[in-house]
Order: sequence, then C-alpha cells, then structure tokens
Amino acid sequence: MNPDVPDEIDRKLRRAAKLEWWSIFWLLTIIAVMYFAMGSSQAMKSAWIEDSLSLFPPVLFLLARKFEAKPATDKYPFGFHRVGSLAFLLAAGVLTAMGGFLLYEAARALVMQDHPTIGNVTIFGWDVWLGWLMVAALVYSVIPPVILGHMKKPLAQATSDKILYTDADMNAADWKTGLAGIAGIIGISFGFWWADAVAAGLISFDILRDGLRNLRIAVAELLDGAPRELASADIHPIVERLSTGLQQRFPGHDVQVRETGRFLRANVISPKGGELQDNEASRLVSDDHAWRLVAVGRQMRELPEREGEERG
Amino acid sequence: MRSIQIAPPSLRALIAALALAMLAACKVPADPEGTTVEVTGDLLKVGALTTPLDTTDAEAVRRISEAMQAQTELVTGDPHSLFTQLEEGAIHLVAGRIPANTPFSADVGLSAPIGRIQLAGESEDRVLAIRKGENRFLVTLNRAIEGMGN
Repeated sequence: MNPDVPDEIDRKLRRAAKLEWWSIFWLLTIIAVMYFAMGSSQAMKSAWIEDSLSLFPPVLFLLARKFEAKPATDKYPFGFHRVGSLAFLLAAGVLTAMGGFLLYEAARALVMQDHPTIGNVTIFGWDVWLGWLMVAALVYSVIPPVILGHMKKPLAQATSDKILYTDADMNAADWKTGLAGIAGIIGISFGFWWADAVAAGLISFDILRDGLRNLRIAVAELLDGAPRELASADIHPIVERLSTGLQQRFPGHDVQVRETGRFLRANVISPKGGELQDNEASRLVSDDHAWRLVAVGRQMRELPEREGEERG
Repeated sequence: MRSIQIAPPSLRALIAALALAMLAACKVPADPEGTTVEVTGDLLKVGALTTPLDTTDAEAVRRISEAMQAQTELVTGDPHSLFTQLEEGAIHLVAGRIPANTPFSADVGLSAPIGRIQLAGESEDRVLAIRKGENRFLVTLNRAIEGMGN
C-alpha cells in the first residue's frame, strides 16, 4: 500500500491498522457501558471522557496512514509524509485539552465540596448500589485497552509511528485510570466524598503531563526540529550517527536532519560558496517576493560514494 | 514481543487490599454527613414545597419515616430557602411536585421516581430531593419508596 516503506514495515503498519480497528470497536463498547454506569461520579466522568477521547488517536492513525501513502500532486509536490506530524499534533492537543479540562473539573469539585450522589438501581430483580456497577464497568474498561496497548507498542517502535506510540502508551496506562476510578468509588462507599475528585485529579495530572510532552515533540517536528525520540523530547540518537556519517563523506559540510512523519530528511550544506546571494535570488524570482527565497537545496537520491546502498 | 505485564507487584497488593475493602463495604455506602444515623429512630425533617403535600408525596414521606422509625416534621418555605436548608443539612428531604429534571438537580441529590408529574403538558418522573452525597440515606429511602414509580 505504501511505496515509501519496506515490506516488513508495511506489514507491521497493516497489522497496526487492524489493531486500531479493534481498538475503535472495543472503545465503543466501553464508552457505552461506562455511559450507563456513570451516574454523578466525577472520577467516572473523567474516565468516560478519557475513553471517549481515546478514540482520536486510532482514528487519526488510520487517516494518517491512508493519506501518507498518496503520491505527490501539483498542490502537494512533496507528498504527504507530514500528515503523520499533523495528526500527531492534533492527538497531542486533544490529550492536553482533556487533561486540562479534567484537572479543572476535579479542582472545582474539591473547592465547591461537591458531594457525589450515587443511588441504587434494580437490575434483574437485584437491588444494587450503582457504585458497584461503576466498579464493574471500570474493570471492564481497563482490560481491552491494556491488552491492545501492549500489542501496539512494539509495532509503534518498529514503524517509528508517534501517533501509534501515543495511543499504545495511553492504552497501556489505562489500568492506572481504572484503578484510580475504582479507588474513588470505594472511597465514596466509605463516606469519603473527596476520594472521587482526588482520584479524578490524579488521573488528569497524568493525562496533562503526557499531553504536554507530546505537544513539545509535535511542535519540534513541525518547526523542523531535530528528530526526537518516540517517548521523550530528547533528540533521537540516529541524528548523531547520520550527521557523523554524512560529514565523513562531505568533509567540511554542515548536516541538518529533520523528520517528516515517520521519515527522516537530511540536508548537506557546503559551508562556503554555496550560499544564495541576494542578487541570485532576485534573478530567480525577480519581483517583490525575492526575499522569500532563502535556500535552494539539491536532493540526492544516492550518495556519490559507495553507490547502491539502500536507505535504512 | 515482550510478555504482557498488567501491574507491578506493589500494585497487585493494592488491588488485593481494594478487593478486601470492597468485601467489607458490601452492605451499603456510608453518608459523609451521617444523615441516616441522625434520622433513624428520631426525627425526619421534610421541606414541603406545597402545603399540604399531595397524596403521592405524602405517601412517599410516610413510607420513609416508617422505614426509618422516625417522626415527621414538615417545614414550609419558598423553594430557594428550602433547598438552601437542605444543602446545609438543616432539613433532610424536600418534597412537593419535584420533576426529575428540576433546575436544582445540580445542587441536590434526587431519589428514584415516586410517580409521574404533569408540567405544562409534559410528563416527567416525580422525585424527592435529598442532601447531595448522602448515599446511604439515598439507598435507604429508595428502598422505602420502591415500587411507587411504576
């Protein structure tokens, strides 16, 4: 499907896509179950919103995968590799907004001393406190994401897919959300009204932190920053290796490495004599827009020495 | 692929502790402000939005006071002062043609339905209002009024 990646990676992406479809299916069942058990518990509401918003990464992944493989067009002459970057920024933004909103809600509940009211319902002739149903729903909501998350993570690492990685990471950490929610409900059952909001606050802190970290990585990518690691804003070690390698072949040249989606692009710049002079630029673009042309790069499909070496 | 590890050992201990706590709490949830204990065998203070309460509301109040072996004291007043008293715990219950979609629902807890009510041509569940978060009291009174909503 995708001509730019080797078969092995393409196979892994296909498998990841299949897992993401399964994620969407299980998430929908979880969202439905949680909705019916939600009641007026703050932690339940937080967990429900988190489950609803965790639909975004799988959907974004599937969309990005669809667009990424499209050939370049006149309107998009560089192709669509950066769709992945855009989707990742959106996913990170959603995560951050969700964390912020949940934190605000939890803080509000604590400040207003909002006591969660949870009554009882009759199901199949049984009179049950709704809190126990919430606990059951939370336990259910944890199982599929945790399993899927652990299956997605190695695929994300192999394909350098940030959205998939974020998604897998969120899924794998879902047990924390579930456990916090359960602790909140059990706290309420003992008459500690604040347990619920405290649990929701802890969940939201986690979400907010992940969101902000991903936002940093996403912004770095859109600003042509050096390629980052999947799980942190640190520069990926591949940059160092690539730069040294290229500098050996182009002595005295500068090397710039950036990332477009899951792919890397490197520029080799000659230090002297290669700069674009003002008058040259105006000869190429002879009008008011001349100042906008700051560099002309030359793309190499193959490195001049040691020909035939495949891209990694 | 790495093996699936759901939770580290320290968390397994926490899960076990939570499971034990759940078993211990299997009876009913507790009231943060102790309404159930306060009312049982003593006095149920009811804020009445209509005087007198109509038959459905009066029947619900009678069942609850009977179930909790308490005397009933009716307090009358305008809706806002009654709901404020309820929020502060000065009264235990507000009754009187309250629909399930009452605008006060953000500030109070609502019981299971005790019947229907007609408001401007629309039919709504009729409920009672209690102090927010008094979950044991809510469960107790829901059991007392069970079947009234059908």
